[in-house]
Amino acid sequence: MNSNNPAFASSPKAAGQRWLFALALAGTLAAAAWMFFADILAYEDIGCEAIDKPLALAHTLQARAKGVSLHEYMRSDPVWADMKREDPQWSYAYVGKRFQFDFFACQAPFLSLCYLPFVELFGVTAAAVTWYSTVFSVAALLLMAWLAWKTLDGWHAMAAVLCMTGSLIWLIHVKAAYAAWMPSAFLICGMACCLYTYATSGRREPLGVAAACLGLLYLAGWLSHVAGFFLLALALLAMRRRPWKTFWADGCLAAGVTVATILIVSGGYAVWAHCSFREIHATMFEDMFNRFSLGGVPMLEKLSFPEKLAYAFRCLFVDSATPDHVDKCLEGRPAVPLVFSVFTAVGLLYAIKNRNTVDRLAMIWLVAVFGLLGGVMTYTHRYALLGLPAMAILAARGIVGVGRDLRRLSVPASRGYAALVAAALGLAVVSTHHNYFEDYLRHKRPDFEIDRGRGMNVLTQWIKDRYDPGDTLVVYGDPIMFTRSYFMFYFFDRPFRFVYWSNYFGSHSSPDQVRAWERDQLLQHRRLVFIFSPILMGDPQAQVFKNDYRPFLAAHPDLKPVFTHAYDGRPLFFAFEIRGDAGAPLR
Amino acid sequence: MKKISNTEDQPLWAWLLRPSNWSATQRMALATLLCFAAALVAVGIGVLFAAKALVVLAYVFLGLAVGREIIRTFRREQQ
Repeated sequence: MNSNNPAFASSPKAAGQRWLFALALAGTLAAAAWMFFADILAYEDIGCEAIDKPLALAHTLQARAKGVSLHEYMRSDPVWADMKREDPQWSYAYVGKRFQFDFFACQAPFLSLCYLPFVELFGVTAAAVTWYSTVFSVAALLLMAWLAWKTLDGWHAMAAVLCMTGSLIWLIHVKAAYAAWMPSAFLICGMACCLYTYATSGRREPLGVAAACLGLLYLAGWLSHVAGFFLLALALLAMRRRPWKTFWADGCLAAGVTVATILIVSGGYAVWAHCSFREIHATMFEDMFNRFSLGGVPMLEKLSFPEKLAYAFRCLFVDSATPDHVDKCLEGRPAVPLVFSVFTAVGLLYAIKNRNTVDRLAMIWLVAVFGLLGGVMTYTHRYALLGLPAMAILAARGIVGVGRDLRRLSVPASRGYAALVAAALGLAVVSTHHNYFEDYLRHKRPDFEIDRGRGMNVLTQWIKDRYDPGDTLVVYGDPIMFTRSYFMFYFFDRPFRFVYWSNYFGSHSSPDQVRAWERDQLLQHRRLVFIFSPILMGDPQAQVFKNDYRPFLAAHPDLKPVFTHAYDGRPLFFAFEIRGDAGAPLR
Repeated sequence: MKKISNTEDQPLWAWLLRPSNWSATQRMALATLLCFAAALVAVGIGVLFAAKALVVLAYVFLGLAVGREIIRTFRREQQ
C-alpha cells in the first residue's frame, strides 16, 4: 500500500490507491484544521500561569524601549506600585521571594524568545497566547508526522496525526496554553527526529541538533528536560552500533553542545533583556527545585508505587479527572480516545515483534517519559504530553500493522477493517471536538479554582469600553477572587489604577466609613468602579468575611449593579459605579 | 541469537502464538508488559502486596530488556 512506489503508478489499481491516499490525506488535514484552527480563539478564560510569560516579555520589551534595566523598570511603574502595595503577599510569593514579574522575565529565556514574534504580532492579548500554543502544537505534530512518514509511510503518518487530533488532553493543553508545554513537546519531537537520523545515518550533525534541543528544553524551565535527557542518553546507548571510542566521542559532543546551547542562549538573552546572566540561572534552579519542595496533593502523595501506576492508567485511558490541575481535564472522559489506547497496546506488540529503528526509538521515548511518571513520580497530564507523539506513532503502527496482516488472510476483510478503523478515528475526533467545545467550554463542573478565573476577559473588556484609565479607580473585592495578573495582562495597553476592597473594609465596617473613604478617593479620581464576587470567604458562623461587600451595599442601599456576569448559571461577579461629579451612579 | 528479520514477515498473532520464535529481549519486553498489566489488575482487586511485587518485577524486566539492547549495541560492533 505504499503510495510512493512507482512500480504501481501505471496500473488502475494503483491509481485508485493513490486517489484513496489523497482523499485520506485531505480528510486528515481537514480534521486537524477543524480541531485546532476552525474555532481557535474559543477558549477565552486563559489561566494565570499562561499569561505570566507573555506579560513578563511585554514588560521586558517596554524596559528595552525605555533603555532601563528590568529592575529599574519594575521599581518605577505606578501600576507595579499598586500591585506591590495592595497584594504584597502574592506579589512576592513566587520562589525566592522575588517580585513576581521580575522572576518571570528572567526565568525560561527560551520561552520568552519563542513568544517574541507572537507578542509583536498580536500584542498582549489572549490571541497571542492561543496562537503561540497552537503554532507550537501543530509544529510538534508535523515533526511527529514527518518521523512516521519517513520511517514507515504516509498511512502511518496520517493515523498518528488522527490519534493526536482526537486526544482530548492534547487539545485541552493547547488551549490552556501554559508557555512551556507545546514548545517542550515540539523540542522533544525534534529530538526524536534527529536521533532517528543519527541512528540510521551515523552522522553526528543530527546528534548535535538533538543535544541543542536538550539545551533548549532546559531553558524552557520545565521538567521536560529530564525526559529529554533520558531520551538522548538511551538513544545514544541503544540506537547505534559503534565502538566504545566512537560512543564516548558522541557522548562528549552531545554534552558539549547541550552546555554550549544553554550558555549561548541564556547569555544572549541576558544581553538582550538587560538582566543578569546569573539571575537567569538562579531563577531556573529555583523554579525546578522548588517543584520538589512544594510537594503535591496530599491524597496523591500517599499513593503507593503500584497505586500511582494505576492512577496514571486511569487518568490516561479511563477518566481524565484529577484532583489537581482541575482546569486541564474533563471529568468522565478519557485523556485519549479508546481507539488510540487500544492500538497503542497493539502497536507496542508490533514494535516488540519487529524492532525496527523507529520501533526502538518509540519504545525508548515511552520509557524516557513514562518510566518516571506513574511509577516514581505522580502522574500529571502535562508530563504525559511529551510521550503522546510516541504513543501515536505506536498506535499508527498497530492500526496499519493489523490491516496489513489481515490483508494476507483476506482482502475484503482488510477493507472492512480499514473502513471500521477510519470510522472509529473519525468518531473519536468528532467526540473530542464535542467534549471540548461543548462540555468543557460551556458546562465544566463547578470548581472554586476554575470559576475564580472565569470571565476576566469579559470584565476587563467591559471596563476598557466604558471607562478611562486617567480618571477611574477600579476597586476589586479581594486578591483571591480577582487575581492581579489578569488585570496587568488585559490592561497592558491601558493600565487602570486599582485597589482591593478587602484591604480597607471588612464585615464590621460601617456605611459612614465607606462613604468617607469614597469621598477621599473621589478627590483624586472622577469615577470609582467596584467589582465584587458573590462568593464570600471567611467564617459563615460568625458572619465575618475577608471580602464582605455588604458594607458597600449598606452605604448605597438604592444602588443597582451596572454589570453582572455568569457562567453555566453560576454568577461570577457584579459591578457598581460611583461618580464624583454628581455623587450618583451612571445609569 | 534469533534472526529479527524473520518475525517481520509473520502476522502478529502468528508470532505471538509461537513463543519459540521470541528472542530473549522480546521475551523480557513482553514480560514487562504482562507484569504491568497484572499489577494493574492486582490494584483493581485490592491485592496491593502482589501489585508492588509485580511492578518491581516489571521494572526489573524493563531494565533487563533495555540493558540487553545496550549491550547488544556494543557487542555487535566487536564481531
